[in-house]
Order: sequence, then structure tokens, then C-alpha cells
Amino acid sequence: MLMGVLAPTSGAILLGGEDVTRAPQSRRVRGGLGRTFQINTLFRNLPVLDNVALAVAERSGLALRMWRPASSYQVIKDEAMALLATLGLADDAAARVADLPYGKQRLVEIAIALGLKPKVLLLDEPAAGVPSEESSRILKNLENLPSEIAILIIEHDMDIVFRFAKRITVLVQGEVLVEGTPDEIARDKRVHDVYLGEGSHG
Amino acid sequence: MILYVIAVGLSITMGLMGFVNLAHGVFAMAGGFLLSYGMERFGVPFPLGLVIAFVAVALVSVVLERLLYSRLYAAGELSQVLFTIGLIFVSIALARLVYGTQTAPVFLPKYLTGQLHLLGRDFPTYRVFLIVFSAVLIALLWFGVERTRWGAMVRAAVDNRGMAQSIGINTKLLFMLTFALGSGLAGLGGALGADILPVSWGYPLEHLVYFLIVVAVGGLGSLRGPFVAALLIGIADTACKYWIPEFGAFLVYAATIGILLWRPMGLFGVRA
Amino acid sequence: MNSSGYLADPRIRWAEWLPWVAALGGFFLLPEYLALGARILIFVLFALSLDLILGYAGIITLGHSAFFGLGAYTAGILSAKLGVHDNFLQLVAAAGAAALLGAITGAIILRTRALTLLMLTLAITAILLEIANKMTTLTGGADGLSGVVVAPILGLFKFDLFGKTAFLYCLAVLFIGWFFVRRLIYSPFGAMLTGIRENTARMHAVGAPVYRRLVLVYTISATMAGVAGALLTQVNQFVGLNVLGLEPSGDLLVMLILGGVGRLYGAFVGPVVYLIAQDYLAKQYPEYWYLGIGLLLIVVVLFARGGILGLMDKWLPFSKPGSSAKASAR
Repeated sequence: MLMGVLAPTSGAILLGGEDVTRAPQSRRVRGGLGRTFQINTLFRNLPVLDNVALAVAERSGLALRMWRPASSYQVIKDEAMALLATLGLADDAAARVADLPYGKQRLVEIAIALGLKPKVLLLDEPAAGVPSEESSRILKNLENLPSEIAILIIEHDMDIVFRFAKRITVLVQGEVLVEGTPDEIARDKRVHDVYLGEGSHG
Repeated sequence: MILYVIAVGLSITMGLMGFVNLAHGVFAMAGGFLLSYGMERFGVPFPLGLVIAFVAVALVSVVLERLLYSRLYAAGELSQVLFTIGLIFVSIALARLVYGTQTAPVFLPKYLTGQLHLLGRDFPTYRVFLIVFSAVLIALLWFGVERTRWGAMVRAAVDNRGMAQSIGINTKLLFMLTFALGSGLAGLGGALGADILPVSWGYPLEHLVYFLIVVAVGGLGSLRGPFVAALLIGIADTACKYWIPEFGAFLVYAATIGILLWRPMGLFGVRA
Repeated sequence: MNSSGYLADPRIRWAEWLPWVAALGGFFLLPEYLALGARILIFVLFALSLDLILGYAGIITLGHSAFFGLGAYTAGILSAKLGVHDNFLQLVAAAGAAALLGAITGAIILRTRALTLLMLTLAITAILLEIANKMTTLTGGADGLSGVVVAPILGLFKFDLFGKTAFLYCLAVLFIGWFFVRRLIYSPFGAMLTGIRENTARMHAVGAPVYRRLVLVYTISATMAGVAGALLTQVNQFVGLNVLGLEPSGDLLVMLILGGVGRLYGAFVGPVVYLIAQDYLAKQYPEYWYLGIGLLLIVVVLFARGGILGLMDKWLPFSKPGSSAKASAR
């Protein structure tokens, strides 16, 4: 809903003070909202570099250029490569995404989102489906994300939640149960009930 | 109304199965030729001929489905479009070779010709028969699809074949039967309609646009939809040709565009 | 490797000069076939326009003949009815008309997808066909519009009886068209189109206003198709109803599939093979033409979805370090 794929039934969504409740997805993205998908949504047949470069090009407003070859836009390529480097994917730049292991694909998801230089970043279960050997790399990269970005992580792995979060909102069956700092949440009885009781999580 | 019988079959294959089958008209043509041939050569009576048209075409479609169509279920629309165009080409060539350029002669039984006097006006008996027949068909189909789980099963199988199979649905059989039903209906329609839409070798291409319009406007996967659409189109077409002959089929196309823009899934489209 | 994208090498490979060499070779060595040659060139241009939206952006349409036909009739009417004989003006007018139609219809229909979109494209070309059919004073109706005159190109080259001027003229226009399309494909815009085709959801999520981009590429494609149509009129000095409707669109689709969709040169190979085969076979054995084409189409779809170029990729190594985006018929 935050990304504009589902329409809210009530209330408003404000991004940087601007009301984007009815704006289409692309408007919100250009307003500074970036996201990763829970299930990898990548350009699987394209090389890793292109995946990120497409995002960078959109953000820099260069996506409509029709004359000079894409490969000549060093600006875009450099930025994309730099992003890949911070995520440890520099060597995979020319590889086809579909050929990469799942953990690395997850990282490409994050790289694309970062390529948008978002002000707010939505991470939808960033470590979902990643085998434990690879998830440490993801977690390390999450730690290293720039602190200027407001990051909203949707997770139900409590380790991850408590490791990273500064503020936590607990949703149960789509409704807000409680909000607070990690300490407050850890001590909240209702959260304990929900988690250990019915085991349903939002 | 003939458009309905043929089109509902298409709505079933395209809507329920999600397969873009432009070659639907081929089955209709086959039905028409079969009926004509059967009655001419073997003196088969009309009702029996209709049944044969339905069954024979359905059987042939099963063969085609098993051999060819089933390979393309997951192939994407473009491949399906191209494949069925290829099928159209092959069949019109064969039709031309076998039947030449003549139209299939039509032999309506005596009791269906002439005029019926209803509500103070004269109606051609055959047309009334067609409308009644279509209505009955709708009722039967609706009962079969909506009331049983068959429709739901087909849609589930199309949505996620693996899942459907793992809960015990025999997807192969399901698709086969559904396709057979849709194509059999086409054959029936072609046979019934031979009087109004003459059957000749170019049939599948000539009427392709109309079949597609009826299905798209009526709504994929719907049974009432093509009925209403066929009605509307029939009326619009006749009215236009009568009052504003200079515009011919123009209005039908314009209306199609209008309706599809307003309701992209068709008037009664199921997949929203 | 890709033919578009940020890693692709945009320099022209030697193999890419082959079509032009072949064309010029045909000009000098096969003078009796220049009429067919011009027709092939025109259809290559037409196929390029379709490849742009079908192969690269992923829009399936059966209505591309609408733009082709509109361009053809615009050029024809301009000349036969309005006395404008300058070839350049005719081309410009055709391009403009087709662009307008492309922008308007694109804006209207590109919000839909799949079957609805297909239907709408068909309906549009069917409407145009009806209009052309009925407005006989303007279009000549079923008899077609003759009396199209094209003034000598650049004031110097008159259209001769042997089709020499026509051929070279078409070749020149095609060259320009090819040049632009090639640049487009290798540009960031081309990469973006590939992105839309490969994963539309992702493109939305990186901030691309997909709908607007599609309308843009649709308009560009329509313009090219319009120019191709105008060329046909100029070369034949005649326009008939057969430039509109399902048939040219269907034929074009077949040609493109044959050559290989989503590849620049599929648009070259396809029409060449198709039209030459048609010229030879359809005259000798007209009933078997449809049969053959139909079977070929079925075989291609089932076993060789990448078309001729796709097959060549598998068997011949020289084909493409770069020009094969595995895009083919999806």
C-alpha cells in the first residue's frame, strides 16, 4: 500500500511532508521512496550491472536519452559499480542475475533500491528465503546502510528485528498492536502473548 | 446469435484456460463442413448431424490439444497467437484443397424453415430457433460451470498448475475436456450457423475479428457475457446497416473500442 | 550478452554491413527483381517498427497496419487529390499522420493488456479499413487510389520504369531508419524498454512511468510504420485497401517471427525470406502457400522460437557477441 500498489481505504500517506496517498508508484519513487520485494523481482535475464544501472538512470533522469549508447554513460556505470562494490557484488557485475545464488540475488534487490538514492527505504523481509550461510552477508550490509536513509524493515525474524531496529511497530492481523523502542517492545506483555500464543504475525 | 454459440466456446478456452486461441473459427468451420457433408452424402438428419458435428469436432480438438496446444500452455501470449495463426493458415489451405472455393450447401429441415407468427410480427423460424437454442445452452452451461466445481477447478489449474495437481486435480484431463467442450461448441455453432454465416474455406479468417470482439466485449471466462455481446452486436450491426448504410461495420468497431476502454475485462469479465 | 544495456558494445560489427552489401549487390546483379527488392526494403522498415514495440517493449499487436495504411493513404491523397508531389513532403505528412494516430491510440489503449490490447489494436485497424472502404471520393474505395505522382527525388532522380530509383530511394530511407533504431536500442532508452519487457513490476518500482514510456515508443514505432506505408505508395504510385486490416499486420508478424523477434536483424531476415518465398511459391502453388506458411509458423513456434536468427545463434558461432537479447517470442 505504501508503494501505491494497493489503495488505502482511509487515511493519508505523507512522504517528506507531501501527500502521496493517490500518487502512482513512479511518483512516489521519484519522491524518494525505494523498496525491495519480498520475492525477488529482478531483471533476471540481464546482467547485474544493468539491474542497478536502470534504477540509477531513472533517478538521474537519463532514461529517456535515445542517442548516445548506454555504455557510454560512464556516470551511470560508475555509480552502479560503486553500489555493487559496497555490497560485495563488484565481481558479479557482468553476470546474469538468474545465474547467481539466491543470497546474492537478494543483495541485488537491495542494490537496485539503493540506486534510487531513496530518502525512505522499504525492505520487505530482506533475508527471506536466504540460506543461513549467506544471510550474514546481507545482515552486514544492512548494518552498513547510510544512516541518512529512513529504513522501514518488514520482518518477523526477531533476531534481525532486535539487532537493527531503533523503533518497532508490531502489527497483528493488519492492525497496529503497539509501537515503541526495542526495550519497550521486548518487555510488552501483549507482544509476548501474540508471538508465543497464537503465533500470528503481521 | 450464432456468434454466441461459437463465441462462448472461445470464452471458455480463452477465458477459463487462458489460452489465446485465434484458431477457434477453424473448429466452427469444421463443424459446418461436417454437417453439410453428412447431410449431403449420407442423408444424416439435421439433429443427429448437429450432435455429430459437436462430438466429432470435440474429438479432433482433443487430438490437436494433446499433440500441439498443450505444449504451449506456459508459453506466453505471443507464441499462442502465432501458433493459432499458423493453425488457421494450415486449415484454410486444407479446406481449400479439399472443398475448393464453394460454400458448404445448407439443408435446413422443413420444420425449421419459413416464418413463425409471434406477437403480431413475422419472425424467421430458424432465427427464433437459434435464440431459444442459445438460451437453453446458456442455462446448461451455467449450471455446469457455476454450480459444479468444474469452473473453479479449471481456473485453479490455470493459475497454478503445480499446486492444483498436488491437491489431486488431474490437470491434463481437465484441460483436455475443457478444450474439447469449447471447440465442440464451436463446431456446433458453425454447423447451426451455416445458413447465416456461410461456411467456406476462408471462414476462420473472415470472422475472426467478430468472434474476438464478442468474446472480448462479453468478457473472458463468462457465459452470459458473449450472449449479451452477441445480441448487442447483432442488433447494432443490423440497425446500422439499415439506417446508416454508409457506416457499415464502423459502429460495431467503435462500440467495441468504447466498451473495452470502459470495461477492459469485458462486460461480464471474470478476471478483474 | 545483450544488444542493449550498459555493458553492450555499440560499435558496428562487420557482419552488420552484410545486409547493405547484399542490397547493393542485388541492385547491380539482379536488375529484374528490383520491384520485389523495393517491396522487401519497405517491409523491413515496417518490420523494424514492429520489432521496436513487440520485441523490445513487449507489446503484442495485430493492428500495426493501421499506421502503415494511414501513411500510405496520406501520401496517396496528398498527391492524387491535393497535388502535392514532392516526395519529402509526402513522407513528412505520412509520418506526422501516423505519429498522431499512434500517440492518440497509444494513449487510449496502452492502459490495457494482453487480449484486450490485442482486440483494440485489431479494432482500430478494422475501423480504418472501413473508413477507407467507404470514403470512396477520398480513397478510391475498393478500387484504390491511382494517379499518385512523385516528383523526382531531390529534383534529380525520376522514378524509372525499371524501379532503379525506387529501390535506391527505399534503401536510403531504410538506412536512415535503421540507423535511428540502432541508436535507440543501444541507448539508455533502449535499456529501459528492455527493462519494461523483462520485468514491468520492477520498472514501476524504480520510478519509471511505464505507461508514458510505452506511449512514447508506440508513437515512434507508428511513425516508422507510416513512413514505410508512404514509401509503398510512392513506389507503386497506387494505394489499395490491402494496406489496412488484419492481413498486413498478420503477415508482418509472421515475417518478424520468422526472422527472430527482439533482434534488430530479425526484422531484416524475416521479410527477405518471406517475400522471396512468397514471390516464388505463391505464384506457382497458391493453395500450398498458406499451408506451407502455416506449418512453418507452427514449427517455428514449437521448436525454434527465436526464428531464423535464433537457429543461427545455436549453430553458427560468428553470429552475435552482442546482438542477441534473449528476448524472443514469449
